[in-house]
Amino acid sequence: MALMQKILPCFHISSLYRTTMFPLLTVRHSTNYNASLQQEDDQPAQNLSNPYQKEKRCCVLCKYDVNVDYKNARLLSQFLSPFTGKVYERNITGLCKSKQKIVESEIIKAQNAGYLAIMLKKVEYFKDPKLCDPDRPVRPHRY
Amino acid sequence: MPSYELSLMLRVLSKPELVSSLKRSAETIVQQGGVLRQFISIGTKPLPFKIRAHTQWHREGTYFLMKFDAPSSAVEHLNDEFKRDIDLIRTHVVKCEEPVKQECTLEEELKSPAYRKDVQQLVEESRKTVRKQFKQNSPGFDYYPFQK
Amino acid sequence: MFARSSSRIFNVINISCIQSRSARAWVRKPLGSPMAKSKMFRIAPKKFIPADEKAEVKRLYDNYFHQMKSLRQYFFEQSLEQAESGEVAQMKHRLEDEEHIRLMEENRQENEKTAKLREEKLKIQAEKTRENILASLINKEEETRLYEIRIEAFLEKQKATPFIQAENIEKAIEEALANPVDFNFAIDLDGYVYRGRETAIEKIPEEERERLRSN
Repeated sequence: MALMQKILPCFHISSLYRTTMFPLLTVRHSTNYNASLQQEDDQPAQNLSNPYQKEKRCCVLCKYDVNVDYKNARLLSQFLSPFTGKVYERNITGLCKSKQKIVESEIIKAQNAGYLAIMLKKVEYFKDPKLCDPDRPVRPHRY
Repeated sequence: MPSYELSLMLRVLSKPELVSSLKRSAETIVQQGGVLRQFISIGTKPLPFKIRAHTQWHREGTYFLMKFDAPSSAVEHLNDEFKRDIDLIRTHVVKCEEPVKQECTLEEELKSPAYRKDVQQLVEESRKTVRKQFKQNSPGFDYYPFQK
Repeated sequence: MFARSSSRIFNVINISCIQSRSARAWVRKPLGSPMAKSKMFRIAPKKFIPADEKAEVKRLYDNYFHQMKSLRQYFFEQSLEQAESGEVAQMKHRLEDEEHIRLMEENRQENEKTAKLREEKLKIQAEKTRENILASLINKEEETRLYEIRIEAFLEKQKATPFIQAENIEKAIEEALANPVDFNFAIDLDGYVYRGRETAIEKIPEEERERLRSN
């Protein structure tokens, strides 16, 4: 139970397409309530934010503020294809433009400094958690 | 003086030899007017690929990091110096820069092209250029004079 | 066939009609054709003019031309004189002089006016440049002050950060070698971090997993 209490506040649905309908709806109720107290009539509340507004999507590295370093071969190889050892493109990794650029440049740095193999993903890293699925790209790709 | 990070890859040596070799490369930095900030050892690991250096194939190496401040003109000299060191397999000097904090633009990028700001700009830009339009060879009056 | 120009043909035909009995048009001999055989060794007689006659003709010819030349010169000079001293010419000269004086006066006035304008403009310009120079001097002073402050801050920061002295290099190296650091970690879509280079994810129990805070 103690563990559940620990985890529950920071519980987070990882799906990118989550809506924030419920918390906003509660806000709407509260404003309505306040308005009725003041005006004492059943006028609809004005200037409400869109309750169907989806939550802003964020890439993994931006979301958790992960520092991408060239010495960290394990993190870098999470963005490599196990078949070709090359970097997945932005439509597959689901990163924002700037982070994708950083990842690509760090991979080149790591290869030059001898931390990361060229055109090879190490077998040890195959069982690492998957950050991207090439079969389900974020955006349809060319091939 | 910008701060740099030097990543050294040394061949497998005994500890006293390793220390003396590292000391040698640290002293070359000092001689070039650099200020040593920090030493970090990563340890001995198998290399990601076999590397040939100084007429020998290497499959294992010791990784070591040196953080230092030095004038930018010194880096070229350092690279030249390290190239001739027999104990070093590969070196890499990286400029340390503080990461710039940016807002994640993924939401903007995932929109369909018509709603993306950069695409809208492109469309606007293309509209500015006047294209030559084909003039239809019409008779010049509103009605069609011949039988249809 | 040979004659291309129609007008020439027309002329030639007329002549040939008179001279020759045949109806064939007169045709010029081709350019490369040789001299007629009958005329091959014929020597044309030289024209002969007696020496005294020749001298007489030359004298008459020279005389005539000398006279004509002197006459032409005389008339030319006379016309020039008339143009200078005639009544119309005098009037023309007078008008020209008046016009010249008027134009010179106008020019002087215009010059004075522009000089005044120029002086005013230069004055304003000088004032402006003086102001600009003053502003730039003040700006530069401010910039140098800021630069010095920046340099001081940078130097203080540099001095504050710890550095390894030349004598302590060996000690620092040994210290670093004793404590190796591993930069490797893998992350999860849920923000869990798996530190270490080759640590299997299953080996870390769920309670001990590290989790990053999401923004």
